[in-house]
Amino acid sequence: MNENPIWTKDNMLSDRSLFMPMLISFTNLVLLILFIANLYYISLNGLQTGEIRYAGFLQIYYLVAAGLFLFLLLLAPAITVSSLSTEEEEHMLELLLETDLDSRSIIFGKLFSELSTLGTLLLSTLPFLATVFIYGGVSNYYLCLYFLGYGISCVFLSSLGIACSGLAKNSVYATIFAYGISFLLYGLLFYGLFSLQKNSYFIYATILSFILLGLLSLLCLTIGRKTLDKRYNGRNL
Amino acid sequence: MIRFTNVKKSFGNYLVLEDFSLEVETGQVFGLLGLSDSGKTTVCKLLTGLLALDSGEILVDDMKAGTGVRRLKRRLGYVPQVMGSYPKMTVFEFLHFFASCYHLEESKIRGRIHMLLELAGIRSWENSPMEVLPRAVMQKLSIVRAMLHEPKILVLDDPMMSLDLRTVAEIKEILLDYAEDGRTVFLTGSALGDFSDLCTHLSFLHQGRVIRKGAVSRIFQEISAQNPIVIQVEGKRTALLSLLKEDHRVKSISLMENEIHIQFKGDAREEAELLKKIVDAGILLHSFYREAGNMENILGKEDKGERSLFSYE
Repeated sequence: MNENPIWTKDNMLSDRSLFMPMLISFTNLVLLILFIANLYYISLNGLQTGEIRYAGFLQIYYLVAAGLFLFLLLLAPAITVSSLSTEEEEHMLELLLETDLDSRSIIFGKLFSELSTLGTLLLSTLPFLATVFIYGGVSNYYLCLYFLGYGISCVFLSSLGIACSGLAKNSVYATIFAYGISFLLYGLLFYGLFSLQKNSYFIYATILSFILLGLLSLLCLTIGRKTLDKRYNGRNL
Repeated sequence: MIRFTNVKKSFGNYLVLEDFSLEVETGQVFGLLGLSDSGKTTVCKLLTGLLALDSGEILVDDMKAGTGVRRLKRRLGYVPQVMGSYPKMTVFEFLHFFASCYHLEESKIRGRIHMLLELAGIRSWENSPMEVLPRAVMQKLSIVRAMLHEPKILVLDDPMMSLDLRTVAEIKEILLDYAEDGRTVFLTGSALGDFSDLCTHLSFLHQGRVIRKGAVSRIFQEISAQNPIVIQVEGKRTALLSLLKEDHRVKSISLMENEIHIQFKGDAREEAELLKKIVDAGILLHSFYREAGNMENILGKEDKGERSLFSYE
């Protein structure tokens, strides 16, 4: 199978940069603090009340999972929004457009490299998420739902970053657009899902959310591709 | 073959190219000269499809420029004025990356890269990260990158800019080697001297139009014939002026502070005769030479710019 050269190149450059190790370290440090703080709270509560609340252990998983998802929402736009604008700022985008690579190859190369970064981040935090297997209380079904949601969100946020990077004239505007859209969309989604949490329609709402995010990802990738096509065919953006 | 036909391009209210027409035959080393901001980079970007025309047509081997057709992209190799880089990549990795972008066969990439690096004389930099490369090496690397896929047409936007004489000479050798197999080289610049021993054909771009074009030898002959003869004498200026006014081949006389510039219509033999006349008249000469052609001379004539202190026609 031929690897996408853009993906290979971005992986190579990422390996040589301190960004990933620092990102992984920082993320895991924050999750560790959350984890230990919650354990401390449980033991303190136990000392004060003389009883151990089992639900407190479940909170560890919810905190870590929510914290990780929040990290994704906060970091992903900033990481992905520079995907195309960096190439432009380094005067490489024009040269890439002159090669045999079409806009689809460039966009997908960028998408896979962003997904690699976000996927690596998820993998590094698995030990914290795996604590749920010590205490139990969360079914495999909800675990799969979480990972599926995380995965689809990675795809959507990467696509959104690429689209904003292609549309906006500079990185600052692209970042603002990406954050604005992602916070608004996820705010509405979470509000809707939490409202339906105890409802039997919750699962349908969740599936619909995934489908919506998937479709929006396709839209963003199409926008990213169109902006690159316009760039080559010479219409000034 | 490259053909520009009545190309017009503007950026907002700023008109860069107006009625720009040019033909470049296969196998030519074609130089497009112009001052800064004359539109040379715009011409290169229109040719490679990175900008759209407002009107007109550009054909590259009967294919319209900017269509994104793979066959056309393969035919062109573009060297921009400023090439970016991936600082943490080595030279070999950078070239390998672009070779992959051109879908070259993996088994042939290494050999091709080594061959081109040897040709450019930068093989020793193969494993150096790009962030440490000096400007001269970067420029050669930029040319090597564009040659990876063996394009039939190499388009270079001011490749000699800000380079020392030795590097300029080395780049000329690279381009001349590349053009030997019947490939076309199209390059832009603003220093006439850089192009005289490199190009087979020249054209001059001024205010959005081509004002002069043709084979290099013919162009230089025309330029030379139009340039003034500069005479510096020690005393007897009046006698010199009388002598010059009597000669029907002297078309105009301009007095500068220490020099006299004359427009002289004659060949080298007739110049020598004039020189002999001046010496025989007992006038002491400091210098007598025909001014070399430069961009400002050529374009200044078109602009009808500043005139000398005194002009006799």
